[in-house]
Amino acid sequence: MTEASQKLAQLALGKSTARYSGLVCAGPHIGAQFYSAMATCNLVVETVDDVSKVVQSVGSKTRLVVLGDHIGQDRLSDICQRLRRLEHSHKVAILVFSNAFSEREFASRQQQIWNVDLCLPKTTPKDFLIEKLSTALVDRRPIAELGCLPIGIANEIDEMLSRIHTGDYYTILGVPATADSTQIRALFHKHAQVLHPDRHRSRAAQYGRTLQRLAHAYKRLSEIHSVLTSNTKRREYDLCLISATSLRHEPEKLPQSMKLELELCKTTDARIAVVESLIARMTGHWKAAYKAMHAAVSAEPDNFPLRDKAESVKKVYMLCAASHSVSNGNWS
Amino acid sequence: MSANELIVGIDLGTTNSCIACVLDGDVHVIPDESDSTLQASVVAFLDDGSVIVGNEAQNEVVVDPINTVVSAKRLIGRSFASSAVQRAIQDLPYRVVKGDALQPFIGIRGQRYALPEISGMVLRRMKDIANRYVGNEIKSAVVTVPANFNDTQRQMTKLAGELAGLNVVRVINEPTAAALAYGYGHNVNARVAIYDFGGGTFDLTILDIRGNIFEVLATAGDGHLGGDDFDIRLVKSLARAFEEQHGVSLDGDKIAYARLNHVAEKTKFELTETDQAIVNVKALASSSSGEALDLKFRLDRAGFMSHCQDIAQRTFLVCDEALRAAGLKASDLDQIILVGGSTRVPMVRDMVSKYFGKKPLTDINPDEVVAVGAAIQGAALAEDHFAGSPDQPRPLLLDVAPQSLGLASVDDYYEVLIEKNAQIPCERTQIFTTGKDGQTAVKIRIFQGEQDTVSRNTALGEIELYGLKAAPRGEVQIEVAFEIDANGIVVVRAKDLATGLEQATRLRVSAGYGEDELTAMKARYKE
Repeated sequence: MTEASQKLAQLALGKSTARYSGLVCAGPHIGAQFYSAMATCNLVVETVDDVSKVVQSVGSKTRLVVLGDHIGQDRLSDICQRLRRLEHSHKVAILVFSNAFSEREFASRQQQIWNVDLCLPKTTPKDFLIEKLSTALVDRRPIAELGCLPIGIANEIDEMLSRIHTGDYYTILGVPATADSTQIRALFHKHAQVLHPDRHRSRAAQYGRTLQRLAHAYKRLSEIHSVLTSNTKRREYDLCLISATSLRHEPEKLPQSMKLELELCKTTDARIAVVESLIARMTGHWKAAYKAMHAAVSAEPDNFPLRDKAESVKKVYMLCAASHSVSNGNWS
Repeated sequence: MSANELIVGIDLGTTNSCIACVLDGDVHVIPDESDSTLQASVVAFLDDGSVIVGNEAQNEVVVDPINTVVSAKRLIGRSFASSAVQRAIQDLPYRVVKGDALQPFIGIRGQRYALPEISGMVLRRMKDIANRYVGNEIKSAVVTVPANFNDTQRQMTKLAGELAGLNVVRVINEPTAAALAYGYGHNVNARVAIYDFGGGTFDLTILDIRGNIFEVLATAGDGHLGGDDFDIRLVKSLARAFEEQHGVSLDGDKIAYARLNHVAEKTKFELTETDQAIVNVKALASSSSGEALDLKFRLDRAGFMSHCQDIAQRTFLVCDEALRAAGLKASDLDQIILVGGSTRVPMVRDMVSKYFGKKPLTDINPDEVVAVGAAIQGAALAEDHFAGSPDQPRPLLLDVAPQSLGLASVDDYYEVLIEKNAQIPCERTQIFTTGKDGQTAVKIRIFQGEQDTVSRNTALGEIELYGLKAAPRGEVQIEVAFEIDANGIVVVRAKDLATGLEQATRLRVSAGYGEDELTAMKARYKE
């Protein structure tokens, strides 16, 4: 084992040289090469002979799950999916062995499809295997466990990292959707102080890709700040959220009909008004939707396609208003 | 990397450079052997083949201007064809020649020097000064650049550091450094403007300082506006006066012009102290009969003002732009900080007071403040706590992209990816596809600037995605991430969406140096 991989292996799995058990869970028929690599790292592999029990054998301490492709692609894919649904799955690295993975491009594609960390051929040399595994494990490890940063800060970062992959901007930042820009800026500053890579440059640099993880998270935080403090972008983002298009500000991914309507606008004022109208339509506020279209038309009085749109919104509003007067519903 | 690695701060200026560092919690502006904290950014190539740098080379500016490089910062990272370089060639006495990729070189005594080599020599001198002071070898530095420097200019500055044997940990903007020097450790909560009027560039930066967070709200600049413009204006009127006195034209006499330049600069400084200056140059040129002719000229402050007022006036157009971008009025600012030698000119100070409606802060040394700020940032990056106040949290700089970054789309339309004044580091991704069946490479041309058509912006270079799978057009999809990092430098990564594989890219930098040239350069300066 090279010095570098020994260092990484220790970082990945723990600092002491004692034998570790419970960290690695392997399915059947993995091959001697892997077991020998694990023995080098002082790791006891818990082998599960019945592949259907692998998922339930994964405990809160498990850091690595190893599978072989002899169980068939469909079952593999199913197990990977179930593993990724586990609560602490973001801490678990998954390694899949198959000789088909000597084809690098294929391995890389499968890695992405199954959402696993490594796809390697069974013939992978031991040192290379340890190095690859160690890097994957360091990247999966909560920063708090790496011991490179003060524990309070590390916990805060870990929490942020897990939110960043699953939450919307408001959740990630920790503000209500009604927050004003002063609140947003204050929270951005608070998180930036903790997350900014400059804060941890020399201490985190030697821990795998820790700095890159921080940089990635910080860039997302900065994106959130820039979107939520710009009136236009913030409303576009709200539309992305309400229309279930994206958790990020990606107006280019909006449904085609909305995109076409927005593309009709030639001025920013009209665009903002149409965004407002679309949000109002998504939430069933047809009066507001109609009023916003009216504003868009006043911004661009000669834009006839836009006028047509406004007309049809008006019609719906009238219909709703009519049914409102009959049924006394809550149209506003 | 140890936790107490020393990272110095260097202000690499157009006219002067300055170096500082934080030792035991105190900022030290580092003096040279003769106790000077400022070093002329001058490199002189003597006829015996030796090279002298800094203040001791200053004398050569007058004696041997053709073999002495001044104001290299005006040329670094620019294209030979740019108006800035063309204008500089007019003003500068030494020879500037064109390289294969339109990069400027300096031709002296039959040798060609790239601009990063020259700046590298200045940085080496600064490093030596610090080595002597600290008693250790300095390995890392934060180097400052004008806020409006583009990607190429920043990259070349970084390269200069590398050639000087320095690891340039971070490139930061001069005004941001100045703000740090002004506000760090004083628990400031204010909106401030940094009015940075140097030798060759002007920029205005608006920051919001909240305790230890220094957030840049907007910056705007003019890369062709500086104190040198005052000198050029003065030189012209001196040359005119000489012609009127003696009927002899100085046109084409590079040595006479270099001497006048020197005199003009001195006169400018003199007029900041006194109301009147007398110019007296002995034997500036000779008459047709070979008789030596002197120049005598009297100039008062009012006369100087009427000569140069419009130059100072132009700075306020830039101020307008920055305020607009920040969504603020001049009266919203709590403090105006002056940086750069040109702010010593009393006329400039008066005009600044009038524009902002308040007196600017003048008790900061404008020559040292930038280096001090860079040193503070260096200490923050080294995680060196300031010993004087252990509770004082380290400063955090949140800077912005100096110029918009975009690419050429159809019909040379300029498509902006990252807007000017976007906070950095930041990243935008874009998906590219092939336009023809079986196409295996895609070229993306990237630019920086604020104009609508690409031809009027600065070309940064060309990214080539190559080795694509031959497929019907539109089928191969490559996601390209454009990042502006904390240095303000562009980083590009590409990914094939079908395979998830990193896509190979080749980046050809405009006005940059080829691999061979770079390798040769680095080898030459390795000790």
